[in-house]
Amino acid sequence: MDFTQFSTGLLECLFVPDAQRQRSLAVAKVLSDADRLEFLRHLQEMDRELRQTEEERGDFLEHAERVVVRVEHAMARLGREGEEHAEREQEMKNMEAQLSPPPHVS
Amino acid sequence: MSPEIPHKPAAPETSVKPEKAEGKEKKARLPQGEVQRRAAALDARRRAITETLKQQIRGKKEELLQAEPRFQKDPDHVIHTLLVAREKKEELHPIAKELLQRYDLARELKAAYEASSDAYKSDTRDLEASVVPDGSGAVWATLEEYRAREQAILDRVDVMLAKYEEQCGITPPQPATAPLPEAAHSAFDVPPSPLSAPPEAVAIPAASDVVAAPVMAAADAQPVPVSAVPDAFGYRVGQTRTRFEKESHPGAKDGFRYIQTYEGGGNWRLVSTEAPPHRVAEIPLREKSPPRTGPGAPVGPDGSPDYSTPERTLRTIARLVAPSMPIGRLRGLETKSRWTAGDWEEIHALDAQVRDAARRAGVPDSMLNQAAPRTPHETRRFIHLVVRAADYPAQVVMPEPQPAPEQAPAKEHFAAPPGEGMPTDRPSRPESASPAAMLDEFQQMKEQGIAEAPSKGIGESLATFLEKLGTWWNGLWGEKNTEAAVSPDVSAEATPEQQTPVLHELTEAEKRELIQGYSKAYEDIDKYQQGKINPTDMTGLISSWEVMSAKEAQHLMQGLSPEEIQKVEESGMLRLPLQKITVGIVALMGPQDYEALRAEVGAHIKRLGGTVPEQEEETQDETKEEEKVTSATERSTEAQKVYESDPSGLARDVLMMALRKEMKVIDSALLATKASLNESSPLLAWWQDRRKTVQAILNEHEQFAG
Repeated sequence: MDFTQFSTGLLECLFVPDAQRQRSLAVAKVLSDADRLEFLRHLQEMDRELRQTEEERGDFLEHAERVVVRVEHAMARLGREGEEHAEREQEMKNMEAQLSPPPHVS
Repeated sequence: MSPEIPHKPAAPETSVKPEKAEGKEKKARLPQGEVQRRAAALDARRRAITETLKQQIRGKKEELLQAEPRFQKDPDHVIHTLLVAREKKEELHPIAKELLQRYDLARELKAAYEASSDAYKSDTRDLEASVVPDGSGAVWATLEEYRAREQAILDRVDVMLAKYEEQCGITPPQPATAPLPEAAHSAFDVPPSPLSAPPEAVAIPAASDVVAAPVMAAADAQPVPVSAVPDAFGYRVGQTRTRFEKESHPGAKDGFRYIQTYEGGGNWRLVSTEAPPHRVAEIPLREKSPPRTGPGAPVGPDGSPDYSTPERTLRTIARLVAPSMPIGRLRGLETKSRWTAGDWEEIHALDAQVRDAARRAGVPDSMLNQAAPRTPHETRRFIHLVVRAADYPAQVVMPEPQPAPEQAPAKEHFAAPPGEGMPTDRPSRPESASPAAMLDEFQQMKEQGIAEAPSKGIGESLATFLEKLGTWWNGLWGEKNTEAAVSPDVSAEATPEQQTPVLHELTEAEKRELIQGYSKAYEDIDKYQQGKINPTDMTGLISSWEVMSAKEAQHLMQGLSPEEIQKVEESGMLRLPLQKITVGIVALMGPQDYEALRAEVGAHIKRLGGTVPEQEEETQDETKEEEKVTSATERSTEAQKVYESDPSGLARDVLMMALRKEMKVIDSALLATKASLNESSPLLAWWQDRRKTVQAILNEHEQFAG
């Protein structure tokens, strides 16, 4: 497992597009060990940023989905409460109507 | 030599701060297309909620004005007055409370999307006017910001590479000379927002057509004037779209940028916008698909339309008509939570188109009537199936036979929603080893003088040893948890939490299909070994294996709901090792390890009941493998060689870690498999055999180590 093979393996794992990966490989092959390591570090740093951005984007989506679900549930709950409230009001009205004397009894 | 590296620019401000759980597991990369699907669906739901809330707030406000005449003095500032009253903890009218409840929800919804659009950052002091956001595409807008950030990073990589190339005297590849018909996008999966244009204008072509298009070099790409009127296929000549999923096009390589341009007649041309021509030339071209009309149109696994069950009939029709349908319009309908009268008119119009396309494709009228949706739910479901068939033509799997619905007269319209048995996105490519972890490991080895010389010391021994243990070296990769944890007793019954949904048993036709695919990969190894394929480019080989693994997983997961599929994927039981092992071996040890690769693919062929092309040699290999498993002496000798040249113990630690992690993964997969498949399942037997092998090796090394 020499350095070239290792850096090849490392580059294969990067998120950057294939074209940039291939260019990176070409560069890595001609660099000295020390320079290659530094080069890979730089590349890795940018790659990490890419991954992080992807993760953040995923987090944002999840966050947005959670909010929507939460609001939808809350709306459903409000709707149920509203229906129950209307039912109770209707019951009250019915009871009042029953308790009121018929019009002809007065 | 160290050129000046462009520094990280300040990240664009996004006011949304997603709730970030501490120490959460790293999530898998979202499959291509998944991001835009979720974002579009989300925006649609958000708009629906927004509209409802607006109406409710207006209604409650009217009620309040009737109930509390004092508000009529200043009806434009009712909410503001109520907010002040609530702040002072004053008693509120019940209707006012209901109004504020909805107002709070609207504000919460709005705050969640105050990410990028200036419209949302506008002055909101006029509460009455800005009760709820009315913009569309808020999620898209934010995703576009992320895309811009990614592109900025890629640009920095470009600059750095250019500097290094200049200093090294390397001629950089020629950039694409052809102007892009659309703005170039990053290789990451945020396409242009479909919400930036009316849904009707975003006719995303049926990918099933695209596979027939030739792969062209960038230099061939010429902008074509976009025709004003869609043709019979529903697309405009010259219209473009981007598609990065390699799974949707066998010639599309992961990470390359592609633009598809419509040439008319249902044909799409795929153009690489950045790959140098010689790279593009290596991309295998797919045979032109047989015509999708007529009774012989390929649909089922055996290449013929499948009408064996109502469900399969539905999917068959969906797939057959998808290339002829205006997918953009269907997608628009699919994302709407509620259909208006106008939408229904459109659906009725599409119904005629569906019937026409189905008849042209040779679907018998009896089948057409049987599949005709009878409810809005079924209509929605059919639409969903057609859209999915267009998006993922190679992944429309045929589900388990299901009970036939009650026969009823055919209705005018067609369609379908997500639900049981829906095809799902193929599992995403497994995450490779973390470059950071690899680099750190290598740095350690380098510091200890292990990796300085390619053919000296522990570096060589380790590579040799890993070659022998290649089948589980992938255990070192990807898994987050590095703690050594030898498996539990897998003979125990799975707990309810561990139980995974029951999987579909492979049919003979499915097995044949998979065996054929794996055999192709097996043959490819020879080509690589003989130098017929560039040995430095293993991507195509890995890709074909991944496709087969994904296909097998999809076969097994037929008929499961999205939740069940997620459960299965989380269980790891379908983590078919080809997906990782190949990446691991090739990346780490180079393409010379043909033996290990061949053995791995051969094992899959045999597991499915097939015969490997070189049966005799394979049998010998198998015998050898068995000898290895049973011969502790031999392996101890190998281990001893490693340890003798490993004074620091690093190699031993790495190997033990890999073994233990692999055992953990196997046990998890075994438990899930036991719960999901019957005892005679070849997959179960395969996992058990794998466990036995790894356990034997682990025992020996633990014994040897002390």
